[in-house]
Parts: sequence; C-alpha cells; structure tokens
Amino acid sequence: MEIELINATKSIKKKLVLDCVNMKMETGKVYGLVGENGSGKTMLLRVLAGLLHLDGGKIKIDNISYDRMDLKQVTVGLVLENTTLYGQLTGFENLMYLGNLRSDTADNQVWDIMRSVGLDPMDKRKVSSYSLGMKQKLALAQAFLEHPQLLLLDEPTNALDEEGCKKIQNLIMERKNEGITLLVSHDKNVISELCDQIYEISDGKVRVQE
Amino acid sequence: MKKRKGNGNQLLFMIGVFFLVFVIWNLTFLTGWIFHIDTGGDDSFFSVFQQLVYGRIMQVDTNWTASMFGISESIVFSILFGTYLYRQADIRGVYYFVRQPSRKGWLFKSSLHLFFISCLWGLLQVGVPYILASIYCRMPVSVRTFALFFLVFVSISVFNFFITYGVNLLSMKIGSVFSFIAVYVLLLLSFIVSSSIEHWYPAAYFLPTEITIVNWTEELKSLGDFWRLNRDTLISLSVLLIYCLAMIAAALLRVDRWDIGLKDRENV
Repeated sequence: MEIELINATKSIKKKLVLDCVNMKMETGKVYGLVGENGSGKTMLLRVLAGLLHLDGGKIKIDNISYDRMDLKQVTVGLVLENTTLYGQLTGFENLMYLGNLRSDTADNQVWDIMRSVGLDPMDKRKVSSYSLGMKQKLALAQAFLEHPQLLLLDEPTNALDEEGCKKIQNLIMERKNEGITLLVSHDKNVISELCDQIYEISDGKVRVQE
Repeated sequence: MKKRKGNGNQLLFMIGVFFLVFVIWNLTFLTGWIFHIDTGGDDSFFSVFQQLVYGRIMQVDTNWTASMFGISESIVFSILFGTYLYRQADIRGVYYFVRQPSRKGWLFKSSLHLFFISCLWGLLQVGVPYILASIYCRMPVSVRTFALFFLVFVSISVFNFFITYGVNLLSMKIGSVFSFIAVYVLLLLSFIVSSSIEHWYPAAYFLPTEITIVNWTEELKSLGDFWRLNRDTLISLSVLLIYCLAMIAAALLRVDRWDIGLKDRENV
C-alpha cells in the first residue's frame, strides 16, 4: 500500500496549519514526524486519520485520488495526545466496543493486545480511575488492536515508564511489515531508533529530514 | 448479550426515574388553581390536561409566556440531549470515527436514535399529564381523549427533536453553549411573532413554534370533527416534520466535511 499527500492544505479558524504538504509513505516502513509545538504535526495526523477534511490538495491511496482519507480503503489505528477513552467502561470493555465497530473482534485478540502493552485484561477498574500511563497503554492497545494498515502514533511513549517504552517500541517493530507507521515524537532517540525516514514540519510545511 | 440486557435495564431504570420526576413536577403545579376546576367529564379533563401540558405556572391564556412555561420540559430535554451528536464528534470521538468508514450511516443512525429518545421523552411529557388528568377527573380512557393524547404526543416529540437536533447541529460550528442560546433566541422570537399576529396569515404555519400554541379544549367538542377542527395543528405539525427532514438531509450532505475532534487543548 502507498499513501501520498499532494499539496495538502488545511486552515483552522483562518489559520493555515498545513501548507501544500507533499509526502509519500509505503507499507513496511516506519516514518517519523518531528517539529516544534504548534507546527501542525497533530493536524497532519488528523488529516491522515480521516478526521479532517482537506481545504485543498489530494490524498492518493494506491494511486487513486481522494478529497480526504477514505476509511473504506484504509484501516487506521490512531493515538492522539489529550484524548481519552470511555471512562465509565473497563479497559477490556473499551477495546471490545471499539474493536467491534469495524469488524468482529474476538475476546482473545483483546486479551493478547492488552497483555502486550502491559495491561491486565481482567482488571475490573473503570478507565476513569486509570493512571496516565495506563490510559496511554490502553490508547496504544486500541490503535494496534485490529492490525491497521496505517498506524498513526502521536507521542506514543508519553507517560510510560522505561519498561513500557521498550514494550511499545518492540510492538512497533513487530508490526512494521503489516502496514505504514507514522510516529510523532519529541524523543530523538525513539525517532532515530525506529524510523526509516523522518519528515520535519515547520509552519505547516513538510520536508524530508536528511 | 449480557451487555445488551444491562443497557435495557439501565434504560428502564432511567425511564422509571424520569417518570417519578415528571409526576412530582406535574403534581407541584397541579395544586392551587386546579381545585377551581370542576372534576369529572370531558371538558374538565381537557382543561386539566391542556393546562398541565402547556401552561404550568399559572392559568394563563395562550400567549408566548405561557408557551415558554409550557415547554419547560422541552428546554430540559434540549439541555440533556443538545450535545448528543456533538459529544460523539468532539475529542472524545476520535477513536470512534477512525473506525467509521461511513459518517452518513453514523449520522443517520444517531438521528434516528435521537428521535426515538425524543419520543420517549414526549411520552413522559404528555403521558404523565394524561394519566394525572384522567385520575383527577375520574375520566376513563376514551377514544376522544386518547386521540388528543396521541396528537399532542406526536407534536411535542417532533418539537423536542426539532430544537434538540438544531442545537446539536449548530454545536458543531459554534460550540454547545452558543448554539443553545442561538436556538432559544430564535424560538423566543418565533413565539413573540406567533402570538403577536392579530390577523392570522397562512405564513404563520411556517413558524416552528406554532405547534405549541394550540387551544385544544375549544377544538375538541366532538370526535367527528377532530381532524377537521385540528387542521391547523396538523398543517403545523407537517411543516415541523418537513423542517426536521430538511435538517437531517442538510446534515447528511455536509457530514463528510465536518472536522472531528477539534475541541481540545491543542488545536494545532
């Protein structure tokens, strides 16, 4: 699979956040996205996740053009900063609910992914009582759950301890060949260890980092 | 399966709780003036029922203040469910929407769901006064009273859906607080215009609040004339239904262009 952004442009409240962005990604590679706060990293992830409509430009999926990410063509796994899952449900219930939206998800799939991020599937606590690190692990688990073709991870190691970080990095590398992974992180070590290619974003413009 | 049963029980529990709240709310305003009405017979029933549904605080003529008091439960409904769609599409919905290949399907289902909830609320809003009026006036259920109940129930349910759906859609653009204020300012203007028309014009049918300004008692003298005498109400109801369908159609056309999950701390 190949996903290409061609002159992608997006404004929010009359502020240009993506300015003629061009980038190309293909299956089997991990891409990094770096940039200062407010440079447009999260917006780019949201565009690729199909949450935002482009004001201009195209998204090509296997050489077919679309006005926005077509979620019928690509399955997307996403982790965004400052997002929460359903606080009134347990971690297991959250994943079962989300996993069954796109396709049937078996209990053992949820068990496996929860264990691999370091969560206990039998934990009966509601997500609202989870610590920040546990919430982050759960967000990562939902992103990995259905083996998505496009994995978009915004600061995936936020709030995780050293062991947790290692687990997530291993998981990213294990899943590398299943699809495209785009990683946003301020941690230069994580980016340089995991990524095959690094994009840099500044004032909404994207370029390949040499 | 377990989860569905759990949800069903939760729904029944909520309906039970709201039923009690509605009974208490209605009984609170039943005291006082109600004792001046002769009990027994159709006319008393219609009078008590109408006052319970449309004019709670005092025995008032049909005017915009009475209508605003009368729709107090509709206001509560739009506060409780004015963010029903909006909540799903704000930052809490990002993980839901990345798994939603058809936003139109989501919107259609959610709109139907909201309409269903409006009907449940309408059932309580109109059903409780109907039961209380029947008990108070010792009036057994009759075809006439049930026909009246049904017409008021449909009108109120559609009206509740109309305002609440409007708040939801506008919230996507301007946020929930401003959309609530905007919708209620428009409703208030509509009430004022409706009640200040001295000579009735056909254009009044197009005011969405017209449906709440109905003098049912005078119009329900005999079942044979029910539909003829309620022609205005039925036309207003049809117009309101068309408004609702137009809103749903407009939202379905635009839903693919909505930006999801922007209401968080980091906008860029």
